[in-house]
Amino acid sequence: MAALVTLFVIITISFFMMRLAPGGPFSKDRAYPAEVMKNIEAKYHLDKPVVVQYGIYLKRILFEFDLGPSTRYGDRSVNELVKSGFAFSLKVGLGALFFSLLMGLVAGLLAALNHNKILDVIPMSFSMVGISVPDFVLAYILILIFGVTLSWLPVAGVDQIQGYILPCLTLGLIYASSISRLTRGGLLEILGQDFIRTAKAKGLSSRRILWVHSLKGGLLPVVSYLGPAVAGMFTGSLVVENIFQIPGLGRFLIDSAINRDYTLSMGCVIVFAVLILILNLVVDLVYGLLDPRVSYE
Amino acid sequence: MLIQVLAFALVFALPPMKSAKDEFVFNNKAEVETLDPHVATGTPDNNIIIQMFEGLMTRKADWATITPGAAESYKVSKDGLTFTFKLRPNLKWSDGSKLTAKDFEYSFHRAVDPQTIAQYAYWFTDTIVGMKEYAAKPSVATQKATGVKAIDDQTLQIKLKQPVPYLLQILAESLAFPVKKDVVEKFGSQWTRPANIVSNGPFKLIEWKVAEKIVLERDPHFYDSANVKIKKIVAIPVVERQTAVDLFKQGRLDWSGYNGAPNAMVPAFKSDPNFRMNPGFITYLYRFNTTRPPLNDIRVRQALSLAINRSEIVEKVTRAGEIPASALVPSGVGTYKNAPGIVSADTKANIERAKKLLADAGFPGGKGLRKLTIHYNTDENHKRVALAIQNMWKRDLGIEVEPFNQEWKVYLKAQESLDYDISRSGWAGDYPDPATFLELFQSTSDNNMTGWKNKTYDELFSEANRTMDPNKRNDILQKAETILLDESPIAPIFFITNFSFIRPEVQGFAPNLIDRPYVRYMSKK
Repeated sequence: MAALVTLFVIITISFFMMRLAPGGPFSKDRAYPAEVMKNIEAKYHLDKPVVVQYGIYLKRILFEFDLGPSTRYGDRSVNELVKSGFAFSLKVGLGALFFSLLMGLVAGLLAALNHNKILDVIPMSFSMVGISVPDFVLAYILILIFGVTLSWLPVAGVDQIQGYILPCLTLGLIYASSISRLTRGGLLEILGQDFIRTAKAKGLSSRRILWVHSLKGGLLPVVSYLGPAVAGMFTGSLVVENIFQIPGLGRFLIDSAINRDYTLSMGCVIVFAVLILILNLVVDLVYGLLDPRVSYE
Repeated sequence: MLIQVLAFALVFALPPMKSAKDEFVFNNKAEVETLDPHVATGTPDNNIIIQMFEGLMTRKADWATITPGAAESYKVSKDGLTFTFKLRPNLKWSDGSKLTAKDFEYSFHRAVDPQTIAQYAYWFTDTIVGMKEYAAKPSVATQKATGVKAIDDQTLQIKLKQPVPYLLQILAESLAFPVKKDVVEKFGSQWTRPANIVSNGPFKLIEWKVAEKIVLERDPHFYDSANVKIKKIVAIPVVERQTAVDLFKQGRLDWSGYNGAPNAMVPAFKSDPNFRMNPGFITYLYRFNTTRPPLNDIRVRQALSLAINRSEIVEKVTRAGEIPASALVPSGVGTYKNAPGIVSADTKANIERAKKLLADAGFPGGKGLRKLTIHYNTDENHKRVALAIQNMWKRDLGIEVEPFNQEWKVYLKAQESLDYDISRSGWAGDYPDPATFLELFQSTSDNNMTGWKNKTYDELFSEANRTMDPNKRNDILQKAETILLDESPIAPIFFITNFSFIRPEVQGFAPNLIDRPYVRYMSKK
């Protein structure tokens, strides 16, 4: 229920903020003749007061599940654009999630278990680099090595399955850095707790202590980080999508805001908001599973 | 770890990257906004539409030369007001049905119908008899009264309000392309989908995946299909220019697209044998707001324009092969010769003259002149040009200006409502004729946006429009351009150069002013 109220508030605020921004979807560097402009405004209801437009919009999305026609891509509906974009962003996002978890968790575990030793310093230095290097630099480094120089992978485009590897790696590496630091931090905190000492004293194998007793609690910070992070991965990153020529949602979100494509940007915002709400719910549920102190009534 | 992952990747070997011998794969820059020829405005849209449709007239590979297309021949009446087009026999739509003059009659009316929302509808409403009235109130009666009539299946007549010297140019552009009535009416906004669309050009639409690719195939119904060598076109909307270069280098593009390389890399790419540069059809200019003091003083505007060292800007700042501009119309438009303008090749003399003009206007050494702002849309290149000009005006005229950037739509709004001092602009020509630039600064033009109004200019421009003799017309237009440059509501700065990578095996892609790829003339070695 609370989630629905949040969604409603997000839709309302975004709708009016969009209208407050100067310029409209049809202000271009070459002006439309006045008569043509009048027809355009009538077609997209832009000639009506903003509140009326808002009413029309709400009615359409609530009762018809229709996000409306795109004002920029005249031949397409927003439903169609969002669906097609999201499919690509989701694929890249899942790949990125896989890479980020794989690399982040392994590096974090390695570092935590070898606290202040060389195997802590090396992965953590890498993660520091990962956090500091912006995605567009990382993307071009990977393209230069594996695309241009070695020609093992396509430099861009996802018409072949190999095309997904570099974008997933780029996006994954960025998140992996944070995940490894959070894993390390979380685990170190748990490993210093009394119940771990008790477990050790009871003579449990270190493997069992790690997998059964520490990991659950140690991963809590990672889990709460993953909620919004996964939403970010699934909805696509403008930079990664542009550089690797992926027809995803991230590109639409930014482009539509710049172009004042009201309906398309609202569509992207709604998808983004719904995803975050769902993922936050999932995070809460996972918390309950991992942390016995949290319980739901 | 990384190595493992990549080794895993290698298990799937990369398929061959080069396109086939009868395929043309190119970067189309951005996702197509619409494939409806009457609504389309942008370059990406047109790059696809011209492959699929053909008007009464069409263009050769050089873009500037027009030649009969769907029409086999045409006759012009003595007064230049009536054009009679004879269509080729046995013209067919891509669905195999017969294309007749009636289809053109329908399409011309659809193009101006208010429901179609065509930005360029004014090309017809301003020129063809009765079209304005029809557009204002579409009905059977107003339609009958227009100057577009199918005399029989093969003959189309167009009656003009006044001679239009560039009519044939317009007829080769997408506004004048035929669309099939029953398809448009049956499918509504869905008619441009691959499953529904019916076209009449050398290629037909097979696939259109949002932001991913558009695939076209040679259409056997096209009358000249036997001479079309390329069988398949793939257009990929690559947004990042560096990505386009990378894709080209990896062999996945035959053409890196219109300006398909980052500007900053152009000096480095120049020596590459596959890199091509040719003059473009865009003028980069500064607008002066002539309604605001001190810019309402012609001397101040002239001084500012004179003190811009154009060569320095193109050589040291933009560096992508731009050509310094002292006039509005890019050179290379038919036989038109630019007005000389006020800016001479002698930089020193220009500056001396500028100083004197400024002193005459009451601001000797720039004293007493308020701080002006240069208004531009957020972009690294615009910023660098503005900073260079700021520096020149300070150095040579003692004038303080402040560059001020705004987000695209905010900038457009400010320019449109004359809420600026000096505003950066660019103008791309629509058809190869000086009028496509000079029409801008008529007092009535929506695209004037300087507040500048000049009666003589307006009169000369409409006189040129009534003049059929090309040489006489050029002279009149040149006179108009002289007035414009003399009064300086704008300061032209440079003409853009087109550049891109093109594979050597691609033949028949002549460099043209707007780098438009007419694939029907292309082949591969």
